[in-house]
This record gives sequence, C-alpha cells and structure tokens, in this order.
Amino acid sequence: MRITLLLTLLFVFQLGFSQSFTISGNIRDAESGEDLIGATVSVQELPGTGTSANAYGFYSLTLEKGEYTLVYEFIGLENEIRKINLDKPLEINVELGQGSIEMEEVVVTAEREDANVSETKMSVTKIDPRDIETVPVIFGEKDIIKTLQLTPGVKSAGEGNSGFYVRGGGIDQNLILLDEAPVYNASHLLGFFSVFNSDAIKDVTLYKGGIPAEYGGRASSVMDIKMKDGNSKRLGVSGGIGLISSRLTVEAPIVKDKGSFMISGRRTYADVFLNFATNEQLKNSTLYFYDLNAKANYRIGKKDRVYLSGYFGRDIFGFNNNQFGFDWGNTTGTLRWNHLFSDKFFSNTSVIFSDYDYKFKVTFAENANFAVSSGIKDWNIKQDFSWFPSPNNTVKFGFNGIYHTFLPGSISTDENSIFNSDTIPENYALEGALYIQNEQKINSWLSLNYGLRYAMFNQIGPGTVKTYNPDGEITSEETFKEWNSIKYYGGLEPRVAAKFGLDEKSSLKLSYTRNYQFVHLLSNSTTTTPTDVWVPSSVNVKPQISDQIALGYFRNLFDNAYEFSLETYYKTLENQIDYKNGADLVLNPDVESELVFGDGYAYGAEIFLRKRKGDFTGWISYAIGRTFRRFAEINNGDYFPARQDRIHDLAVVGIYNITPRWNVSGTFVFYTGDAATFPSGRYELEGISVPYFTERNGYRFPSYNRMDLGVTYISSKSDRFESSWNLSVYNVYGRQNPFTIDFRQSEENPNENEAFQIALFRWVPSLTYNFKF
Amino acid sequence: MMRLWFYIMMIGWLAISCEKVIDIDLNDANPNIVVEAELYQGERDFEVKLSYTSSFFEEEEQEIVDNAFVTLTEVGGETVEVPYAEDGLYRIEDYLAKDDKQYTLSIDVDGVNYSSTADMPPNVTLDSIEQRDPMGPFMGDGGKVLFLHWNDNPDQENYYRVIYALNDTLRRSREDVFIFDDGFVNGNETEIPLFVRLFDPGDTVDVQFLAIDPKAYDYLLTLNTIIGNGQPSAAPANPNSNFTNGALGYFAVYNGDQKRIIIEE
Repeated sequence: MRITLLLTLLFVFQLGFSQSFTISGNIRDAESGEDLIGATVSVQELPGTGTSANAYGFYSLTLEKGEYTLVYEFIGLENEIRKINLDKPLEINVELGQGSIEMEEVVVTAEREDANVSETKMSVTKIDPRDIETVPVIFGEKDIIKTLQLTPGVKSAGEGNSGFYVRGGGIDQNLILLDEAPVYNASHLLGFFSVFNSDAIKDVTLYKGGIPAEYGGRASSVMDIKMKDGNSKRLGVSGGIGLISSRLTVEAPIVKDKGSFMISGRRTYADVFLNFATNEQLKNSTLYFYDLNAKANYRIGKKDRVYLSGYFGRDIFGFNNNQFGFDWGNTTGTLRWNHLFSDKFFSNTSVIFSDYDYKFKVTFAENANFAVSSGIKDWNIKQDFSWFPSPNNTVKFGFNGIYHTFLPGSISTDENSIFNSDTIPENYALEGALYIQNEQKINSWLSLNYGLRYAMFNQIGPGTVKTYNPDGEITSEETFKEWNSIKYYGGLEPRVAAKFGLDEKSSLKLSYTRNYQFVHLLSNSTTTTPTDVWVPSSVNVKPQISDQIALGYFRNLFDNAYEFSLETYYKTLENQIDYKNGADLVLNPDVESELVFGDGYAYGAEIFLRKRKGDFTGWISYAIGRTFRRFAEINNGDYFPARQDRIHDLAVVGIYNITPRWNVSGTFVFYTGDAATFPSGRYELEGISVPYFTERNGYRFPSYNRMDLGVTYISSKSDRFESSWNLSVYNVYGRQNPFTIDFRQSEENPNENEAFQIALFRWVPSLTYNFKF
Repeated sequence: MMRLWFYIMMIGWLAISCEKVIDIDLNDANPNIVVEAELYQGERDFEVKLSYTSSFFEEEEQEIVDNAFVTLTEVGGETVEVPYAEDGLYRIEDYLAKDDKQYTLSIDVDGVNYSSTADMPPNVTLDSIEQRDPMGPFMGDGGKVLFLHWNDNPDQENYYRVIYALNDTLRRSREDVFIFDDGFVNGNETEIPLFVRLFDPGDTVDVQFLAIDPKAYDYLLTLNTIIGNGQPSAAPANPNSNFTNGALGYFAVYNGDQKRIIIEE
C-alpha cells in the first residue's frame, strides 16, 4: 500500500509537461575548481523554481521552452547571472568567484541564504571547516566534531572527547562517513582528537533526524564528511605548525580543469616532550598519531568522472622500547565513478573499503609476554542514481551491499611465552539496503521529502552459533559452513519530511525516521577506548531499531542575517545493549553471553539562534532533553537515565572581526552533569570497605561549565601568500570540571570514606601558525 | 589486561590532571545483611561474619548481627549449627571439609533465610615459587616478581585465588585480592606472575594457592571492578552475591596448597 502511494506520487508530476528542455552542468569554485556542493540555481522569471548542485557539483533543471535568466548562487561567492534562450538542451558549467565582492574574513557558507527556512531538511547541522577556523578549541586543533558538539542536540562524550551523543542516542549509534566510507573509531589519543584533519575536509553534514532514505545503518545520526577534491586550477600549499602537531596539504591539477589531487597529512609530536623526562623508561617511549588523507579525481570526457580517495591514520604508543605497546587506526578507501546517462540522469558507483584494528603488546618479564589484536573490516559496493525529472522533483534511488569481517580478537605469544596463543573465530556478515526517495515541491508552501529504505543483514558462515542460558552457560552449539546463512534480519524504514512555509521568512517542518542498526559497539568504559569491540547482529543480538518524530519552527530575521530554529523530538529505541555485572568484553569467545538487552526513549527540545552576517557572527545553542534505558537485569527492571542524560545543554559561540587583520573569538559551554552511579552505603568484607549501590545512574556529576578564548592575527594576506597566528586558551577560568568521581578510604582516617574528583584540562594554551600559498 | 591499559591512561592523565576531595550528598540506603564465610578443605576453624551495611560517609562502627541462626550442611550428610562467638562472628572449631562434597550455608535472621550452596573444587598443588626480575612498565627498584608453577587440569575450567602472607602478616587489602582463571594459561605445566606487588630481598612470603568455586570467583571478580582493582566499569554495581534473598557478600569454598619463599638478591 505504502509503495503504491509512493509510486503514484512519484509519477503524477510527470503529467502536464509540454515541450521542455534540460539545463545541466557543474558548479565550481573559480579559484580552486572545487565542486560547490549545494550551490543553487534559480530562475528569475519563475519565483520559487530552482535546483541545487549535488555532492559532486552537478545540477540538472528542466524547464519549458522559453527565455530565462538563471542566477547561480553560493554564499560567500559572487552570483553569476546567465540569460538563456531555452530551445534545446543546454550544458552550462559555471564557476563562481570572489569577484569584486569584499570577502569577509569568516566565510559562512550555505546552499542559500534562506536555506534554513526554505529547505525540507530539518534536524541537520552543516559545517564548513572554514567556518570554524577561528573557534577556539583544545590544543589549537580545529576539529569538526568538537565544533558540532557546540550545536544543539549533540553532546560530547566527556571533557575534550571527540565521541558524541545525538539526541539521547549512544556513541555507536552515529554513522560517520568519510567520502562514503564508514569510520569505526573516529578518535585519536584517548579521544582528545578526532581523526578528521579539517584541512582535508570540504563539507560536513550531520543529520540528527529526518534522515533521507539514501542513508542508513545507525540508530541515531549520520555524519557525512566529504574530503576536498584538490585544486584543479593551480598548485596550492597550506599548512600549520602548532605546539603539539603540524599539518601540511598539497593540492594541484593533474590536467588543468580536468583532474586534480590533494594530499594532506598531520602528525602530533607529543612524544618530543618525553625526551625531557628524567625517567629512563619514559625517555624510551613513543606517543604520537598521524593522519594522511589523499584524493584524486579525473574527468574522462563530458559524461564520466572518477575519484579515488583514501584515509590512513594510526596512533602509536610504545612504553620503554615497546615493552608495552599499543597501536590502532583506521584505513578507508573509496573509488567512485560518476556517469551521466543523460542530462537528467546522474549515476554514482562506489567501491568502498574500511578497516579498523588495534594491537597491543605487553611484556611482564622474560617469557611472559603476549600481543592482542582485534578489528573490523568492510567491503562495500554502492550504487546511487539521481533523476531530475522536473524542477519540482528530485528522485534518488539505489542500493548497496557490505561484506563485513569482524575480528573479535586474537592473542599471540612468543614461542617460549608462558601464555597460550588463541584466536576467537572471525564473524562474517552481509549488510544491504535498497532505497528510493523523492524531494518534491508540491506548491509554494508545501514541499516533501519522502522515501523508503529496506535494510537487511545476514550473518553468514563460517561460524559457530552458541545460545546461552541466563547464567551465561552454553546451551546449544551449531556450526555453519562458508556463505551459509546463520541469521537474517530485515526491515522497512520509512522516511518522511515535510515543510510548510508560513511566509517568506518562516516555516514549520515535520519528520519521521526509522533506522535499523545491525552492528554494535561493546564498550564498558566511560570514554572511547581503542579496545572497544564491534559485533554483528546474530542469533543472540537483535538489531537496534529507532523511531524518531521531530517537529520544528524555522525563522530567519533581518534579511537572513539571523537564523532561528526551535525543534522538538521524541525517539524510541529498541534492542539496546548493556552488560552484565563484571562483563569481560575483551578476548571473550562468549561475549554475547555477557550482554543484556532492553529498550529506551529520549525526548527534548532544541533552540538555535545563529548570526551569520557582519563583523560579529556566532550562535547560541540550547537543548533540553531526557534519555532513559530499561533492562530487566538492571535497576530492578525500571527505567533509569542513560549516562548522557544531560538535561540542560547550552553553548554560546562568538567570533568578532575587530579589524580585517584581528579577530577574537570565544565559546562558553554549560551542561547538567552526567548521570552516574554512586554508592548509597558501604560494608566491610575481608577488612576492605566496599561501596553498596542501590540504583543505576541515580546520582549526577556537578554541572559542567567552561569558557575558551582565541585571538587570530593575519600577519600577511596577498594573492600569493597568506599567513596567520592563532592563540587560544581552553578553559580560561580554570574550572575543575570533574572527569571522574570516585570514592576511597580517607588516608587521614581509614575508617572514613571520601569522594574525590579528577579534572583534566585547565588553562590549556595553544599557539598555531597557519599558512597558505 | 584492561587494568594495564587503564594505568597507562592514568599516567598520561596525571601529567595534566588535578585531583581534589569533594563533597557529594549521598542517600542512606536501608541496611542490608552482609555475609563473609570462607570454608577451606581439611580440618580448620570455620567462621561466618554477619553485619549490616552502613551509611557511606559516616564514621561509625559496622553494625553486627548477633541474633542469627547459622547452619552448615554437607549436602547428603550432616547439618551442624555454627554458634555465635563474638563481634558478629559465628564459629565452629576444627570443622572437617572434604573433597568432592557440596556445602550449604544457611542463615536465619529476623524471619528471613539467606542460603548459599557451593561445591568443593578439586584440589590443586603449588609445585614451586620462583623469583624473577620484572620488565616493562612494572620494572621497580630491585624488587622481584614471584612466579607460581602448578599443573593446571586442561580438561576443566579452573578458578584460582592466591592469598599470601608477607613476613607472617596476612595481606588482605584491596590491592591483594588476586584471582584468575585458566582462560589464558589453560594447560598442564603452567606458571603465572603473582601481580600484587614486587617483593624485596629478605622478604618471607607464604603463598596459599587455592582453587575456588566458580560462584565465589564471580563474586570476587565483580568485587574487584568496584574496589578499584580491576577493569573499571562505566556503571558500577554490587558484586554478584551467591546468596539468596539479596544478602551481600560470599560463601567461598577453597581447596589448595601452601608454600614459602624467602626472596634472595
């Protein structure tokens, strides 16, 4: 029934067109040749008619025969106006430049000035890395994830941490895509840095709700990150030198205007400081990470274009000549082929690889050592079609198939080691999806984006399936051969979003999204650690399912200088995972027996007020929300607040251009403390004072607040060379926000207990020099 | 293993972090009964300690239970009363606990019965203790690591606990709760480092190497996560007690061996 309705809607609009022709082409940046994702084309003679460029800069607009004036727009760049006589199909490639318009120091980009109000999309946060250049961040490493944490509905996993929670969901419920490849562990160095070097990034879009049908696989959000294509006009070099890391990016045309490449690297050198250590063991230690992003693209004729992009990053830690060693990292690769079947029909085919793995090695004494490794590996084929039948409809459909290999862990030892080597068998699964969606403008006040996605998952052999009783003992075992189906899951995911225009400046939006999640992250610690393990849905582990409805009011003020939005949401979560008491998640062949399953819900409201024009820009973000979980085995089966149940969350960001060369910025963050489990009593056992707990997450951390300030000075600016200095201080008033709270026997009086907290960063200064030529 | 990772992280954090004692308001839970009972194979005194939980911060004497009726049953055999002695302790002198038997401890307090049943684990023999120089992050200043050698039965899951005395003082602080299973060392001739501390030359160490029943092992394992002596848990909870009706604590049954080593240079 649903499908019939959809198809009817899809084809109804085709009627009524007489003789019409299509204008198509690419919209690019005149200076760098980068595709301008989301640049708009509007028709002056037909108010409300237009289209926008897709992720590859391609646009297609079909109009009736006639004479028109087309306006090409991209915020921050000068408009391009073309008068056309449409009596045959036209290919118009446009390059938008800075022209005579005085460029503002802080470029704020968006599809259109009024995109906030006019687009169907809701619950979406878009960030251009150039927006955040001057926002102060810890260690001076501008970081898209840290900036997203300053927007409503996105919460950091902890002090300085790049893990995040979206609308009450878990950390593993965020699908993080880098050029379409999933990144399974997006953090470096205990989470204080994300793996995304913002020099290599063109565009970031976070979908918190109203997720289009083209995306799927995680319960709470999608973060779609696109790497730069590389300058196709001339050689460009940019970089930065900071106190703990440096970056360098080189981009150049392969053949001018036909192809280009970009290579961007970053390395930290925190371990340089270890040389100053007086301790010999620390002196002989290493601690650093690096990232390498590379991308190349080439146009083959007018209809085809290929892209190859990759990411390689690793953290390396070695203590005292590697007696204790740890290294982990992600590798991703994406090969894409764009093909134009016609001027209305665009296709992209991708082959995607993603790998995350970690290893650690421990030496206790001679012949007492071992190494542990674990990870996940994906091969993915993805086919997406876009069809632009009329200015009022953009249809997308496609499919993808992923082959997952899960490596739960293996332990290897030297020949003489007293420990045994062991490997927990790998798990295999196929994940797939089919989708179709249409973005349709019904009339001047109503537009819809509706779609349907069928998500499926099949755990396949070789493998052994075990079932467990409630005590975690094995009750049955069955072995499957290669490619044999072990367990199949599948389900339909309806996605609907509607925009009701109230007037030129305001609109109401409504959306509903259902998501299945078939892979799950097991992590029994409060921070993201490299030893977290991904596991597939299986006989014992059912897919997580989320349903979310969201309603929002959007309004722009003062000629689009201010954007305002108020959104509310309600989300339910099924088949959530928690752990039995004392669960052992590392190297456990029966890890599924350590899990408990329950449900949850979250609701809240988010207010966002942003000023995007003028010398002073910035935003205020406030979210109020609750999120609860329930498990039969925990807390007597009652709902309890999830750790990330921060009721109030406020962020204020301000950037002020005092002069063209001087710029100051500041952020202020306040949020309710995390829900936590503290003891409500104690007892003695073996002479040890043991805490007595009565409820899960029944207490709270003290509320968190912090202010960061930054100053940027542009030391030189010409066509040939640009450079700037950035000084920032994290936590300027040095508040000791607790990172952990724990309890212990008092040293002065062993009969008494005391609570103590550990705070991490206070007054962390950083200085960075950035250059570009 | 996770403990190592946690320590390493802590080393990093300590360089930049600061610690302070804070005030936190905690609720007072209703008192709950706590049982501590250890039964060793062979002829030994058997003691049961009964007390109540108290408020977390307040400095007060732990409230003891002196009105309980306690019995120990050899399943399929005799039931004996464990009479009250003093200070919340109930004691039978020279009780003979046998191999291959099952024991039930039953406690009646104010009309509520708390009971736990455990199997006597198969005996284990400690073959030798050896001292070695430590390496890696555990290198100390001249201290030695003790390695314990024994024959692990590869055909079954074995759970072990080590309780040791240093210079004739039994060490039972939170750092000394040392338990392990044969997951990583399953096999015949096996050794494991006693990772509670480094020992100095001249120290006399008496090592009790004990097989422990799985339920008490599970209790100690989950106890370790909340007394800061194991993998720290994101959501702490009470240890998995092996008693009915929500009593805290454990009834542990041990079967093992004891050896002495005097540490040399």
